Amino acid sequence: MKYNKGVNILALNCGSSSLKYKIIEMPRERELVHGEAERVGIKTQALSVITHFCLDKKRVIEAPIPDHTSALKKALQLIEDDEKERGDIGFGVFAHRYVHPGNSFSRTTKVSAPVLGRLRETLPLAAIHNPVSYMLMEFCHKEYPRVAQYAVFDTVFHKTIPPAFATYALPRNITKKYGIRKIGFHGISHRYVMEEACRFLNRDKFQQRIISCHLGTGGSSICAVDRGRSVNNSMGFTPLEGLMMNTRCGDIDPGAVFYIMFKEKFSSGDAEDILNKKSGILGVFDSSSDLREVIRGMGRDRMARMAFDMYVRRVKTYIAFYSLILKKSDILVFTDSLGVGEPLLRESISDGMDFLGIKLNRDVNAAYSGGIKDVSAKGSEARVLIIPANEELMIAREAYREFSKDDNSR
Amino acid sequence: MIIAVDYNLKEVRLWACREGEKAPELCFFARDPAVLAGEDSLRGCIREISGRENIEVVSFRILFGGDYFAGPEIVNKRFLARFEKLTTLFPFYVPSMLKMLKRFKEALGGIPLVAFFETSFFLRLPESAKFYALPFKFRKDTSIRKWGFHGIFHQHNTGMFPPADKSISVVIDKQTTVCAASGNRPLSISLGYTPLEGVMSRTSCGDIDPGIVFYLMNVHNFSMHRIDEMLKNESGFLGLTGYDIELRDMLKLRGRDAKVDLAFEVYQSQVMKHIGEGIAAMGGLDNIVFAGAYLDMFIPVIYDMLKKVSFLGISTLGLPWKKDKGISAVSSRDSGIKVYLNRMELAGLIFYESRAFLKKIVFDRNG
Amino acid sequence: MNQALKSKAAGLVGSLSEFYDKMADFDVNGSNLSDFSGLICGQMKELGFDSVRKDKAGNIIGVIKGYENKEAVLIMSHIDIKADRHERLEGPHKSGVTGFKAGVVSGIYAGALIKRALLPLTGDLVVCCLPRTESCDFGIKQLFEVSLEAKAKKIKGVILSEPTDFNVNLGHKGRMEYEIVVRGRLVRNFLQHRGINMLGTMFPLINELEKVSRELPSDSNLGRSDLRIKDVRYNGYQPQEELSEFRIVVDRVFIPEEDENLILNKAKTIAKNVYKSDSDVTVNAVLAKERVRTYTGMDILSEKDYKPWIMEAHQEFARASIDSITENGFKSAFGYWKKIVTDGSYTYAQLKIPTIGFGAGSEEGLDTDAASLGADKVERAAYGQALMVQRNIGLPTFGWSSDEI
Repeated sequence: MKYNKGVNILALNCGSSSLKYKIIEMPRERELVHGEAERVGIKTQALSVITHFCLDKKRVIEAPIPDHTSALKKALQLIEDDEKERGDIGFGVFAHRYVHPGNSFSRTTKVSAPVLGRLRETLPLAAIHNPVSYMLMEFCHKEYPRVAQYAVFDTVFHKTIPPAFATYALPRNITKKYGIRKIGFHGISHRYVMEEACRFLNRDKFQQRIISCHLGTGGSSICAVDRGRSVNNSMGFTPLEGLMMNTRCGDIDPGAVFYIMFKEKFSSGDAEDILNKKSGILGVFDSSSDLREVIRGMGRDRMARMAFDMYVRRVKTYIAFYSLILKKSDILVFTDSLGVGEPLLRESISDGMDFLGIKLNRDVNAAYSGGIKDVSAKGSEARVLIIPANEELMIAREAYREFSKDDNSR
Repeated sequence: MIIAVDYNLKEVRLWACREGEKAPELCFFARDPAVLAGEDSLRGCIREISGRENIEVVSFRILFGGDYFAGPEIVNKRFLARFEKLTTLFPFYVPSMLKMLKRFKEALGGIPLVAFFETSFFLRLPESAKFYALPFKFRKDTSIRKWGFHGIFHQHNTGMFPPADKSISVVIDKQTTVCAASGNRPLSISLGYTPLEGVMSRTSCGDIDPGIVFYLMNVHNFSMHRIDEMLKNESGFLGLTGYDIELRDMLKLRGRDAKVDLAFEVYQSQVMKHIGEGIAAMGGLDNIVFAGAYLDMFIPVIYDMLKKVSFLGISTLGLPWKKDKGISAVSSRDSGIKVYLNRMELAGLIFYESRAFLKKIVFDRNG
Repeated sequence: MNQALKSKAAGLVGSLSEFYDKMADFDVNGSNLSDFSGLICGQMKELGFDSVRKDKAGNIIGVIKGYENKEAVLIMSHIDIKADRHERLEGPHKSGVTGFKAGVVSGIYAGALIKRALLPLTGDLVVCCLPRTESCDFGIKQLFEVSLEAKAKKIKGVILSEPTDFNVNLGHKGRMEYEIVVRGRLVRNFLQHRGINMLGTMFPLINELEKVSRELPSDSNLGRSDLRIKDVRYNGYQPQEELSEFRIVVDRVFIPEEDENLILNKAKTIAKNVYKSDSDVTVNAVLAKERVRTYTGMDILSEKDYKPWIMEAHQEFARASIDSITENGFKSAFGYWKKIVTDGSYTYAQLKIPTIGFGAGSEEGLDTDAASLGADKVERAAYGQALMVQRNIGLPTFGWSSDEI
């Protein structure tokens, strides 16, 4: 008989210059510890900061943190301190978010030496995120050999995207040889959103058509979920495709890329850097890459207005596209910092979308103050929800599912 | 009589249309434009076409007008000077077309030449649709933007409805393009700065992740010229199936070959994305018009696509659809969204526009 | 773009092979060079070059104007002249052969292709043919120092239209000819201390030089240096100095690591050592010179010295050039000439202008008759050179394919 043993999971979620961590008691999903190290490994005048909560006790530590491994070491120290005071705080499983494993992994995987070897080969696929997560896994593998470790992949949820949407119209020999297909990202988040939305509305996820908008201050993507399965994602083979993002250009004519390279005598590295790090909101608005600042500047700054309009236009394009392939949606979800934090953004995106069954209640939307909330207008075919992101919880859930399988099969 | 010239670098076609005649008549075709070289041979050719009739105007379809040409224009010295300035933006095409225009101008003396541009319509795209999210420097220095294409058709297809109508026009030719327009203003166009963006063609890729380009260049050492070649000449239906055949023959393999079926699914998905873009940009949809030289052979594909979005309130007549000339409705009477086929040929459209243009000139002249 | 070039190449095949035949029939020598140049100039004009002229040194310069005034690319070929027998001097170039004609024709037709395809360039394409008598570098100096004027400072690269078997060549060894001059007082035709006559006096020096030739260095790409004694001359009694003189003429092939002055100094030192016991013998080593009269009527004294050169394979011009052809069906690799020397000794070794070689036929083929190299190969070389020009200074059209317009 299957039994679910309780275990505390330390979920680790690396950004390019941050590390979010949570200890979650599973399967109760009780959050024991959460914290975030910010400004990791970047040279700023301000020191790196770790904000650490144990239950309700808050501690803030400022210290130089040169890399993610040091950040993790510091966090582990803090957790050790907590453990001395409260015996039940410790953890028995590591769970890592890993952004881009290419085509080599199709499910949450227990980390072992051979798995690390295979992951090593995927490092160039996401040059910012992969090496960071890899470093942490290597560290945990070495320093905590007895603690089970799971890699939870951002791409796995999108394995179900059908060929019609996953295939690029490129030569078959090239796509085959280099494994080029739509891979899709933010899968952990989109899956979390799907589950939370159905739980909140008390609906069966296997009967719902969901459009999930993960609009973050870093990357943004939209996912079409058809009865529990991802069927399309605005990000592609890499996170560059799709929406306009803080510094990524999103969809662009490759001919334009070639022309810039020719005209400016750029190497492909230069051009990639510009499209990934200097375009998007930053490219148009110039003074900031943060859409929140764009929104504040919109009254007086024409380029801010344009950046906002472009951002909204592309989100709407994908919502409409996915409405066509899903034959309308039952649920539309906004999540992550911008999706949750900017009422004007939700309002502008929903504007004129009632043709596709999406209608927002402006007042409820404007008054949103936290938690999961239904902001749809009366008569809207689709329920419009705001769901704060909790990727760490999703990471823990994924890891726990594998952990209990491993545990049961023992 | 009006003569229309369609020159695509490889072939040159001349059509003639007499007053009162509806259908244009193809009266000259050559694979090598050098056949027209020299004043005499061109003049001879025109004389042969027109007989003794008076030629009112010779109209040209021009693929690209950059920022300069927001509508049809008379070809004169000033025109040629401005057109030549577009060379750097479309070096492959502009010098050839320029030469052709000059040749006609020299040979035909007083007969007015009028240029119609495939891009003019899209100069009025909203900024948020026109520009890419690139650093301002590149938008400014390189004039990188969506130029669009098939503007002559799209303008006509979407312009025949009341201004408040929200219409999508799909032109299916060597390139397929999807345009949304309302009140004679374009709101979206699938084709971008080049035909690589938008909907795939027989050999070009349509929308892809630009990250793929960098992946191939950085990790696998492809040069940008090699990738450009691959994306425009080795991708699309050819790339997906490996069959180097005409689309007409590709269509015959639908339902019989898995690779071909997948290729058409990818094609439909790309078309769908841009229909979605149009719907989102307009906030709704009233009419869809299909047109272009490949229209008739694509009817089964069109029918399929419409079936997939019938939930929007589209109900079509059953196949086969009647082969009416001109514009015909194929949505049923109760369909919330009307669907039309426009079977006009490009030349016919150019005659139509030429007449309108001539009238306008006469009107302007007479105050 | 490449399709446009390819289809135009097909369209020019007839004209090319006709002209190539005409060239092949022409037996070029010192007296009819002017007619030969006239034939080339005429053809260039007919093919639509924007300007064609000849300079003082007899170089033919054809220009296809760029749309903008940016860097130019040069395609250079040479015309070998069969000198009249009595004027003829031995030089590193073989005389009396016609293999160079393929290079001339492909260069001209590469230009014609660019012109016909109406593909605009950002800078000028300059197609030059340099008549070359033996080792004379006067012509190329005249070309760069005078004839090209300001353009010479804005050159992106030079394509040498020389035989490379469709590979992209990046250099060759240097080649110089020097003379060791030994002078001594003879008493009744005998060198005083040696007791042997002048000819016998040479043998120890020849022997030493042969030893040197066995220990020469080599370069991983260019191959081994070489020393050959080309001639030994007894010049007899020199009245002014009251000395007798003999000369050993050395043909020396050398790699870039070797220095020409050091080579000369070493030769001198060897000679000195051989004759150190002979107090009244003086030795010297000097570069060989020759007097050349151009067909345009100029007299030039020229040194027989070709500098070695080798371009880096990752150099931008070389890289772009090889990419442009390998991406369009050529199976080309980087290579180096083993036997012949080219104008790269001037354009790259001295002026530092990126220089590559590309053409049909093999180095050995230069010795044979033009007819042995088919017009189809010459046409292919022209297509390849046009692709290189287009890649380096052409205005690219991205995204649009000629089939889809």
